[in-house]
Amino acid sequence: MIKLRVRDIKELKSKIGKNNLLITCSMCPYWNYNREEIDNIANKLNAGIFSINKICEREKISVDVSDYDSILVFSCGAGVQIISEIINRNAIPVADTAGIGVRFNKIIKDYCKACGSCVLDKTASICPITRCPKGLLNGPCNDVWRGICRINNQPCVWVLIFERIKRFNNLNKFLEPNMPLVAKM
Amino acid sequence: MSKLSSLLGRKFLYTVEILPPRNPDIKILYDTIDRLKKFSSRIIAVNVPDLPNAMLFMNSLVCAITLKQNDIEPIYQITCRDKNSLSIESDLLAASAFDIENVIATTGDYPLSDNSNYKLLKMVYELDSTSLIKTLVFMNEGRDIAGDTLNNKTNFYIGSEISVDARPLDPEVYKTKRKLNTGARFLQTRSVFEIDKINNFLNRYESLIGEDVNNRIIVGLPVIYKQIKLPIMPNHIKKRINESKEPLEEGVQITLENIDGVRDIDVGGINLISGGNMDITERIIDQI
Repeated sequence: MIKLRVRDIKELKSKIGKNNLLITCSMCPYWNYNREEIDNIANKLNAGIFSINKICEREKISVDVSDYDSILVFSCGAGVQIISEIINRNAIPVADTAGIGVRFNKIIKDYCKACGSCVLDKTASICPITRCPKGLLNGPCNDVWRGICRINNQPCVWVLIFERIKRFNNLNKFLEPNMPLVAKM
Repeated sequence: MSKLSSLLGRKFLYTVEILPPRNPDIKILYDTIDRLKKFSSRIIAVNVPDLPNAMLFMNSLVCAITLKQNDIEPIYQITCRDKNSLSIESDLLAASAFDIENVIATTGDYPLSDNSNYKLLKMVYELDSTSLIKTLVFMNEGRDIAGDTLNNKTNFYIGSEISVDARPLDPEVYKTKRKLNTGARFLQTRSVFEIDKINNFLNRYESLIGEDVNNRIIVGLPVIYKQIKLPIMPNHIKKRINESKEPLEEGVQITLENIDGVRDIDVGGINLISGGNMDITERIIDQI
């Protein structure tokens, strides 16, 4: 599902009125945060909650938003856009869309950026575009120490890619350079 | 043909790495040029790093052209952190037009260094060291990365950087081979403080890849002095300098010992990384 990160509440408060509506998508927000956490966010923002089943499949919504000072939307970036289009007024995103995530117990990690140019067949099915902070196509770089990326303190994905390619007995593949989309080969 | 390309592997070479000016003033570069000219028989080429440590310096291409116009052979370094492929190729057209041949392709450090105030920099990384090497190969074949033809082939002598102390080492070994396969002709190491790390890398390379790479390698040796801001400097060297009654002399001594150590290994040469301290760099060159 889509990984969402709630934005700075103080900053959000500075953008809204007194009587607000928080429109939440029924899907990804509730995968990232539990109901109590979402209720808390709504409270802090002086907002009532209106939940919509799969915003990304909606063409209309059944709530009258004219009485509210501000409309906040808790969904991915696509959801915020479509809600604003439907209600024909400004919609304020409550969360940043971080990418497509995978849950490991309580931690959600970014695994895909939906970049539209998949390289997984060249990288032993580990995405360096998302998981390497530099998005390198030919790593590892010099910012790795003892297998850990100095930038995000996570295991270097290019070391992981190397190890997996080695395990698959296919190190010749590692010796081929990967080129960015602009390159005509 | 650059002196570096014709002599690497035939003779033990010395190069120096300078720092471009940090201010809108080129006087300091002319001063460096004057100092280096005295050693033109010993120093074969001069490295110009491109915004090292994500700190602000004068454009490395302009500095490389200035060196070239003052009869010093430049090694023009390019980082992929700050420019996309179009912009890098544009610089390379200019470099080629001004007869710059030695080019080092680097990916570029993230602004992690304490010295950099550009922590929130928006970075590019469309290319990396390896895909930039391939881009340089394209240009030497008379085309650009997008497949359009150039009216002349460039004549770049393509280099890149390696980290002999990488941990784990094996991915770095294979990455080095990938760079050579892609078209790199020479490899400069990042700062090395302990000579056994070079031996360790070279042995591992030979055992994994089945060939030796020694005569393609120029070892990067930092000129050591007390104020040098290198977090990777090992403690035993820091201790030697701090405990010495004459720290300046001790730094010179350690650097000279390291030079001797590298000379004992069969590699292509040494790149003396000045860190911008030309006084001490001059003293060292005087003694090699």
